[in-house]
Amino acid sequence: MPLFGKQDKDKDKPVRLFFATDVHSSEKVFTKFLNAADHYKADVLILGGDLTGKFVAPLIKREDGTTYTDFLGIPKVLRNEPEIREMEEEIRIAGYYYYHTTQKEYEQVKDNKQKIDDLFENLMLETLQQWVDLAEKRLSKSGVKCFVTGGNDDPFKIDDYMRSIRTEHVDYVEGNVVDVCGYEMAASGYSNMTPWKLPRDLDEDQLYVKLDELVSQVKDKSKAIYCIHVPPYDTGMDLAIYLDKDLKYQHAGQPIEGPVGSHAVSKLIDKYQPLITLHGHIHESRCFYRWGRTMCFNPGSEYSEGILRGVLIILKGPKMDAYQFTSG
Amino acid sequence: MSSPEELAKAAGRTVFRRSASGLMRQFTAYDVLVYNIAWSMLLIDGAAYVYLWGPFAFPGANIPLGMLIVTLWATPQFLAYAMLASTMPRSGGDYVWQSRILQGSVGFVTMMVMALSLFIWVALNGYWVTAFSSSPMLEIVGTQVNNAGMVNLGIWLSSPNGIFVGTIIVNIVTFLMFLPGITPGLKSGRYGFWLVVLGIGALTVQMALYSHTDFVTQYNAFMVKLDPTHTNYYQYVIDTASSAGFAPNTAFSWFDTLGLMPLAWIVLAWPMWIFLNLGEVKGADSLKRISMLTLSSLWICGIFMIIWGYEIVNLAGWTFLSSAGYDWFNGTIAFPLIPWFMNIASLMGSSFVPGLLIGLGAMAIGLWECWVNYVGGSRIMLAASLDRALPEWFGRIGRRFRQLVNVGIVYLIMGIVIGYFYDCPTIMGVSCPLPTFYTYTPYTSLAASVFQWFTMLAAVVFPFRAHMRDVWRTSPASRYLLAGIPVISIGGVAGMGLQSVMIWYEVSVSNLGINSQPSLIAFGALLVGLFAYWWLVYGYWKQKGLNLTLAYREVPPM
Repeated sequence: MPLFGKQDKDKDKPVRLFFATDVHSSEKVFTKFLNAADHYKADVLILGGDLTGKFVAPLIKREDGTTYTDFLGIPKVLRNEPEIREMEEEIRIAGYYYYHTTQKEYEQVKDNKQKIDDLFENLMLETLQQWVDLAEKRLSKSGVKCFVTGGNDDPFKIDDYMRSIRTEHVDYVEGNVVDVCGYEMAASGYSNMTPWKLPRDLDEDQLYVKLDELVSQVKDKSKAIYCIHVPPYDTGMDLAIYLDKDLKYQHAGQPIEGPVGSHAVSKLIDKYQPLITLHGHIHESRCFYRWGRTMCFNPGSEYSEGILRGVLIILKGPKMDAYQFTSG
Repeated sequence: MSSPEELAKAAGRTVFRRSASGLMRQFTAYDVLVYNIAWSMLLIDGAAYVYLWGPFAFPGANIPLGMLIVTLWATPQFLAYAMLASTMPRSGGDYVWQSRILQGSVGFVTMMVMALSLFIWVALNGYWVTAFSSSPMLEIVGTQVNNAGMVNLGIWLSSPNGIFVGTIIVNIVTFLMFLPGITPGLKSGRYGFWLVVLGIGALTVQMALYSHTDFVTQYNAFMVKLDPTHTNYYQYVIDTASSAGFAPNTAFSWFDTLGLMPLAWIVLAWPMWIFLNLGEVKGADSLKRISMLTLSSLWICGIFMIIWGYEIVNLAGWTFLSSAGYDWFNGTIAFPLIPWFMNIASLMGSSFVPGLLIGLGAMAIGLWECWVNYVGGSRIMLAASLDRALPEWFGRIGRRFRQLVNVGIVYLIMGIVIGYFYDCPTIMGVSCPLPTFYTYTPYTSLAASVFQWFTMLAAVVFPFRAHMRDVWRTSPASRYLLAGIPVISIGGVAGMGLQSVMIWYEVSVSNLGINSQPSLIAFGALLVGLFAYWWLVYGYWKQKGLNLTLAYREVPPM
């Protein structure tokens, strides 16, 4: 800024950005996320990938009129509507889906992979619609905008669906570069290969090409935000427990953990040096890493306990002014 | 092959799951129990204080009974810990439970007390690797095989210079193990585990094989080789204490028996540190698993300590043990071989093998425990740095080593500095300017009691805190009530009681070494200082737009 230059107040106005990730269909965490705008006085919300859940808990209506569940391994018989509603809420808090069924229907579905897949798809899309409606209703009051991306656990089917239901305040930005309060953000839910070989898992070379193609679209790289689901390799943000080919812990008295992040992402950060990068994917590795001028964040996730883990970041011009990891 | 059945059992047999990351097979209970003997059980080295310091400080104590009482009393506390861990399995332990359930400054202060006490621990680990293990091992084995070089090296390793040099080496080696991340330490610890198991086995068998008469004969025959001026070292130890006014044989006392608890806590505070990452599958099965693991770990430790208490008193005799403890603590005898119970066991018999196994086991504990302290301390500092309570510097991952290098450096430096004061009164011919820290060993126990007291308070109030309502509701622990009261709260009350009693002993009994006025003032000042620091930092970040109290405040649902 010139010595006698005029200060552009808008340009230097801090932007408070709140980022959380890996909510895995936990309604409790998602609703807290929406409320984080007020709670942390955020100007913008960014929700990282892995939006969808991994479990469906059937609520099985029995012939005697009661409803049975063994959610979390605890058999329970629900005798009336209030008990059922309460159980539904508990299931939602834990990041599971629930669905009401009969014993006969359950028996038909339980060994049928296609039916189970269809069930998951329906519940995912239904839940996402509810979330977007809720978010729009809530955020339209404050005017805060929410950007949502995908993750490697999210099936491709949700991409088009989420784009089709986007609203004024909720934008699904997977695979795009968008403006976030004057900062360009490139968002991608792809990951390097994991032991589960999910659809959005790619080999490192393929991942690099895909991500490079995306981030090259950013015009002002000094003020860029990369929201890339998988963290860079060996940065403390990507420490996970090693598994063998049977998906069993490798151990030596305690589980052995090590870096599982992406070399492709590391190369990109090294090459372009964006302002900040936002990651998720490894729930346990709540951490930051300073990479040259780039500050990288992974706030972790505790979705199954209904706890919102996030990071509040204050950006000011071309600098990151302050940050704080939160756990609400 | 991945087991849907195992996952289904934990999540619910009727629950459907899809192919997604994070779903993995659980760590087996046997694996954890067997291997974690090396990591969280400080048997041999930690237990030694009970059998030498204990009889001197509490001459009316019954050791096996004391160990049984503390193990029983700790059981509900460990259950409360298991319930907290299964409720918030990825949260990061005591610091987060206290911050989340109680208040951020409470968690910060108690965990910083713990993190700072680790400076004593890493110095203590140097002492363990030298004076507790390599020194007596070399002296005993060297004597038995008639190798003067080994004996002389062993004697040097128990001198202040030797211990200090050993502490430096242990901390440097630990720092180098720490730098590349957790895996090398874990993998090399596989071998350390076997050394520990063999050491524990040899120790238990040795003490059972010989009578008191055997001990007197063999002890004297051994000690005369190290100190030819005393042909009846056994009697010399007793007479020296007696002439200084110490009365070793007093009537049974409940006060004295319970007084052993703070010393036993040097070992028993830690078996709950074996919590695993439970993965994505939370449920009743996880709570049962982790409860079994923590309680089994506690009871394995407790049972060994009971057995060893019985064995060592039978072998060495109460009069000798308490007199030796007095002589050692007060410096009335400069023992060429301090009569720690593992040293007594090692010198029995003509074979050097038991002494070698016991020494190697004790060394392994000292070395790997030092590494565990570096790792544990670094994670506490990282957590506080993420909240901005500590500067970013503490949480920074090194570019070259991808580890919390800065914290590692802090522990390395402080381990050596504290080690210097720990091993005084003179090093390299120079008198230490401060009192010797060695008698402050029970501060490690006091620090543990302070932070565990607050964790138990968190356990008590957890079910009743409005802002934790949803977390409690989805916790497997919420299903367990006794007469309508949450079991976690009952466990928390028992744990608070236990820690309160131990804290009271530590601050009131002079024979535990830490209740001097300057020592207690320093500890009190530390607590006040940490609180004051937290609020200063709070003010600093407030003017930058951050609120430290929001780090763990519950976000209200819509």
